[in-house]
Amino acid sequence: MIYFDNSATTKPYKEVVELIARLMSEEFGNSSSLHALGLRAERILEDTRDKLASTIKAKPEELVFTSGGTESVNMAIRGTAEVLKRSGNHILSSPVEHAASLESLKELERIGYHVEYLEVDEYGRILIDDLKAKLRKDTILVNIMAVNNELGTVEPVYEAARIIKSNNKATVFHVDAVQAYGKMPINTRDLNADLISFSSHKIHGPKGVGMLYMRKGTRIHPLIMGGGHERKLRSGTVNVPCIAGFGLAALIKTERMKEDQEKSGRIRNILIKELTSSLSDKIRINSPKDGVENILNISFKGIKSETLLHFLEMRDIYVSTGSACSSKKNAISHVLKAVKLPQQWAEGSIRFSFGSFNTENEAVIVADAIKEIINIM
Amino acid sequence: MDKIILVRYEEIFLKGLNKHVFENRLIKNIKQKLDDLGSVRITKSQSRIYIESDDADFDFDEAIIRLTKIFGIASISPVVRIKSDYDEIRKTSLDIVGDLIERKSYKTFKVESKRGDKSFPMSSPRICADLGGYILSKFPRLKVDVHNPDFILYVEVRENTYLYSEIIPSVKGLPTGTGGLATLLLSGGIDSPVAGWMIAKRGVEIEAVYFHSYPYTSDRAKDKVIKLSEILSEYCMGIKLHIVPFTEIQTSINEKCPHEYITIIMRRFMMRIAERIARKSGSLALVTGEAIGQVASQTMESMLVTNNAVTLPVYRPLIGMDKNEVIEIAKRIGTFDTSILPYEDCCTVFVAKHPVIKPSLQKTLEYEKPLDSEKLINDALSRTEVIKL
Repeated sequence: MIYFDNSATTKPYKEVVELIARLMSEEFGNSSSLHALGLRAERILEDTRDKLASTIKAKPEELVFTSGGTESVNMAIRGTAEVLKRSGNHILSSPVEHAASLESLKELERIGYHVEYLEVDEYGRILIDDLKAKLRKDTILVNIMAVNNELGTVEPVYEAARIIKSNNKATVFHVDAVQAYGKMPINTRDLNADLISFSSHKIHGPKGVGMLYMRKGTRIHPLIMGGGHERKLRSGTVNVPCIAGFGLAALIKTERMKEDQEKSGRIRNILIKELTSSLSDKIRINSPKDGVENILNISFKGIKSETLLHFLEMRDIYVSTGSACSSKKNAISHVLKAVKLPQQWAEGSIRFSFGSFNTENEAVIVADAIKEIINIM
Repeated sequence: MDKIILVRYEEIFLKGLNKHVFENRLIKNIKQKLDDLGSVRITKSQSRIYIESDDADFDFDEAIIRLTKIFGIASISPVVRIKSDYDEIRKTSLDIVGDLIERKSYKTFKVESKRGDKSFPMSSPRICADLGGYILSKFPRLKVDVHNPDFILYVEVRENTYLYSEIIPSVKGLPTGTGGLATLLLSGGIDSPVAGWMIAKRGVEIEAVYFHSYPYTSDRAKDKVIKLSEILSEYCMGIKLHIVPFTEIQTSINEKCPHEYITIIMRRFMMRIAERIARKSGSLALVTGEAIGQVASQTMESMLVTNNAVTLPVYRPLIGMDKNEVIEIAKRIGTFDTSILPYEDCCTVFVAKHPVIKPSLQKTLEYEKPLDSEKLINDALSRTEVIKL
């Protein structure tokens, strides 16, 4: 099996699976229980919080555990809007965000907030001048992802933060770092963001776990009410085994990040080189050269991407598409639309995304398979 | 006092001397459908079927849901059976009415009575008047409304007396298994499941044929068709689904035939394969979800060309229906939500930009010549997978 769909989800590290399995059977205590078993679970939880904080140079008390990236993003966007509703109702976002952001923003629009979307270039990168132009004194929230999940484009979030904060210190800046974490350094001391969303299963950790970084002093209204876990910000019995698994995955991934990204870069270059040399004018590279190395989006002319996906799946190769193959309209992803990729290219868009377990040799096999398939299709 | 289910049928009356064939089949089907709910006793009396159970925890609600999906049943009523004794009728009526007022906050009612047993001392009008008055005296806030009541209390005096208020409509039609076997060309769309359902409604057993073009269509499309077959099988007393690998045929057509004709030629192959399957299983007709003019391959000219590929009759129950009418049935029978799941089905991948709307039979036959039809069909049939649902 060749798994080139690591931006959808990843295979957990073996050490992570073993740790979770062990904790589930041995340390099943409720971290809120008063007895010794509860205390042990709480210690594991707080120890993990310390470790995760260290990977982004944050303070442990700035982290809130959630059920994943989507919850973190929902909590950041809707929780901020609720708390700041008296300070203004203007919100800015990029149009190429993940659905977790876009749907949360739609919900805010429905209840009366004014959401504006920034202009982007051909790779989905926000235009800094447009950000400057659209920022207002009553802008309560700016929402921008660090890395685009479909194209791998790195958004200028550091620069954006400086501009946002110089316009109005009180404007909350949320960065969706789900695709960036473990792929590029994230340093909360340099990145002047108030809220940052993370997910575990994109870095070889378990599904169902994520976290929200909240800069000290940032206030949000919780989405989920209950027993007051996570400093009343996220109630619900804490999933200690999976959080510990997340922590371990984060340590492993951070440790090997540089090496992994270099390898991903080589895999990406092999694919580009092999495919351009034989298919030259039949393909188009949609990812920017300076994007993250682990995401490569390519369009194949005259081919419906879902068909290519199934042909690859027959050869035990797994990728994803930028458009659902359908006779119905509007099946093309909002990202490809936002970067104005012509329809004929958008229909044939495939995303390859790499992770810790991939090898250069796999890239050669995949490139050969694609050449073969395109010939028979 | 016994809790029982009363099952009514209508059209079976029309069947004259064959009536018992239809009744017996209906009883057999009911037995089969309720089998896993526990022990049931099913009796037939005066053109009605009564279902009762000795199990204290028999799930009557589930049984009623299943009975609304058995062809041949016109309506169902949960019924209380008591001795034909007027005091007991009065007492039980109060229980039933009290319960209805509490659960559904009904305010108006009337009593309707039938007397099958003429030895019972009161006539029907007298039962209605007296019982109505008695109920009013016990529930002073209730009012009688003979034209548009919130509920009707039915009292049927036969050898026993049956009391009920609810009449739940079922699917009607004729009992499955009384009409032979037909072969349905089933895609993942909205129309073909409805077409199959309509033919099944006439007592016809259904087998389904689905053409799978993996990898041009995802295996999710196949799962969707299996799900649709499952939904249909609840009405059809089980369905055999034939999954025919269709990729080679489609790619051959795509390679060797003029593009505007690929859809019509593909349809002819589907008909031929379905007919082979039908002949083998003793099926007497093919069923499709076509309606005149819905898409290019469903014009009268196109259907003439597809019919020419087979000799079995082709039933098209939706032929004169509008899309919205079909959607309405699909929603009612429960196939709609599955049909609209967005997975590609084989009709939509190999589509010419401008398919021919009025194909000529002569040209079609000409264009088919380069294809080794026999080999393609036999090869597809040999790799056909059969699932029983």
